[in-house]
Amino acid sequence: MRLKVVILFGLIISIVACNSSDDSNEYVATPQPLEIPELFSQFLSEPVIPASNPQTEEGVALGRKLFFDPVLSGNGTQACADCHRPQNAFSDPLQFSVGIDGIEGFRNSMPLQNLAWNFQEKFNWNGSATTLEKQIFEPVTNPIEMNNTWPNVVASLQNHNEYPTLFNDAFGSSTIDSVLVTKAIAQFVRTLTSADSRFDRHLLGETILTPQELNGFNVFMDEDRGDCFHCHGNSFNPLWTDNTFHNNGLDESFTDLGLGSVTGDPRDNGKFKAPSLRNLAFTAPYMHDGRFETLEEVINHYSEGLVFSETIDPLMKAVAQGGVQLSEEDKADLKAFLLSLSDPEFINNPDFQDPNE
Amino acid sequence: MKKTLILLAVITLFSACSSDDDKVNNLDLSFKFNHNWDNQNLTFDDFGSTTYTNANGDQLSLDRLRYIVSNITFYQENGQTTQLSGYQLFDLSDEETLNFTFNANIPEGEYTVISFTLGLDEQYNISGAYADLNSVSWNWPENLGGGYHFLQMDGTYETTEGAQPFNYHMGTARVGENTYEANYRTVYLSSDFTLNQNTTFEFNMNVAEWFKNPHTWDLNEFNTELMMNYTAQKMMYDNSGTVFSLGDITTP
Repeated sequence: MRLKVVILFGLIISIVACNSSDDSNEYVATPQPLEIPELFSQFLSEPVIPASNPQTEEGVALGRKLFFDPVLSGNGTQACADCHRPQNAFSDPLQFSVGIDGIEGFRNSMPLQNLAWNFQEKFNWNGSATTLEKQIFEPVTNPIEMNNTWPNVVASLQNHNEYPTLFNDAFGSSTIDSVLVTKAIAQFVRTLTSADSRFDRHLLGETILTPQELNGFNVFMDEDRGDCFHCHGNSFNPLWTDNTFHNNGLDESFTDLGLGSVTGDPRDNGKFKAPSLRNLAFTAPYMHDGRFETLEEVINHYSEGLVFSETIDPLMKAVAQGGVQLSEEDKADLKAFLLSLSDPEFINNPDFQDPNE
Repeated sequence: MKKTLILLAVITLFSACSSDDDKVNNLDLSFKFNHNWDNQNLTFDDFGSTTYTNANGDQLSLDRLRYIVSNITFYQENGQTTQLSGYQLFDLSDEETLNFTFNANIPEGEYTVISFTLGLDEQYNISGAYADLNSVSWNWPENLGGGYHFLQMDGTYETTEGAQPFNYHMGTARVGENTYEANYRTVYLSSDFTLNQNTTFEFNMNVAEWFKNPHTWDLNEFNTELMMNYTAQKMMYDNSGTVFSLGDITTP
């Protein structure tokens, strides 16, 4: 795996070298190819990195600075990182995040992890953004989030004593615009890979799980017990999500249409992104509306709390009985397995912390 | 997908080396899979809206239909065969997956039979081996023999207590502790046809046949938790025999 990165790196270097000898004036910052974790390179398709926004050292560093800088918000009080905190796997501990004007949103802040492997590139709980760069446009101007305007953001950055130089280093232009801001932040967010949980180490043969965790994995993989794997990955899909949208039987009718609000197709009403099960230890509360405070509540929902609606995924079987009726022991074991997917190295990674402190 | 095509081209290159009497050409062949319910056209638009009555008299509607086809093989009258290696995962919710083109090294000329594998045979059904299939969680659990799903058909059927889900999932069949049957199906379809550059093959899946022949499928008995149900897996295998037919074969 390391070899692959080195070769890729070599290749890029040589391309860059060709470019510069090619009389072209196009500025290229220092390439910093995404480090692909061993399990991902073994089992998953290539990460999605747009040709128009390659990863560079200067771009990632700039994106990181912007991500943690409240300068992006209307009154200079909120950064991306306020609702996407490293210690919460880049989510926050609230049911609904609160914007700069004290207004509460209506969906739970999503964790940011392994987003370069969101192959269908449908971001947000309802799939409303079709690239990571486009996603980043949205919260900046949303009145209940950062409530700023892009001209104002650009003016603040342009008049800043550091940013024009940093944009020049990253993109070869000290003239800042919204596209470059989203590109830089997207580069940083793509570096947020989590692949060092106890379960990852177990798969790599580096640690031994407890019998309880192992039984919990069996519950997860067993079609007549948990049957979690159809939507939430497996040992060969270490993202622990299928990256698609499902109605998981939360409500009989919907106040939030989810995917249906984006596609306009009533068959998509009540469908939300299946979130990754990584880092659940740090991302409570759960579900698109943060209705469950604990993993026990989540497991109880699938075990006996399902309710029928028109668009419920047929994979939510036994809905007439409320769910799959797990034994108390299986519930406890399933929880232990789920927690083995949490990755303290991820939330404590020094490369992911606030550079402005 | 690109990876599959490259793999395919390489493997057909090797298999073509065995032939010496026919002129082997590098040809683009196109494939299109259509779906129907007893000759009534069936597309993603029908999902969650059109109600079908199966052979057992149960009313059902579909929410998801995905399946994988591999080892497309062409047979000439003289016994020579050419196999295109590689696979295609169909997802009716994604129109683009239903049409695909293979670039193959294959003799032009007259053929009599075409076959393909529904699923993956023992040689290819290796757990975790395909990044694109892992990435869409197409895997089949290890404790059921591993590898990948062959077919996933999810929907609901009407009961006296209202709509109930069914999960008609086909893959490796678990006979007992550590004993499995591969359970993929090789489908042979006969037709005299000429194969040339840009020949297009259409195949039809009659979804009703999954519930009909030879086993009249009773959803009230076999609805969910069928992956580990050996009887259900073998019934799926049996019923898969009449699901596919050849449509038009056209050469420009």
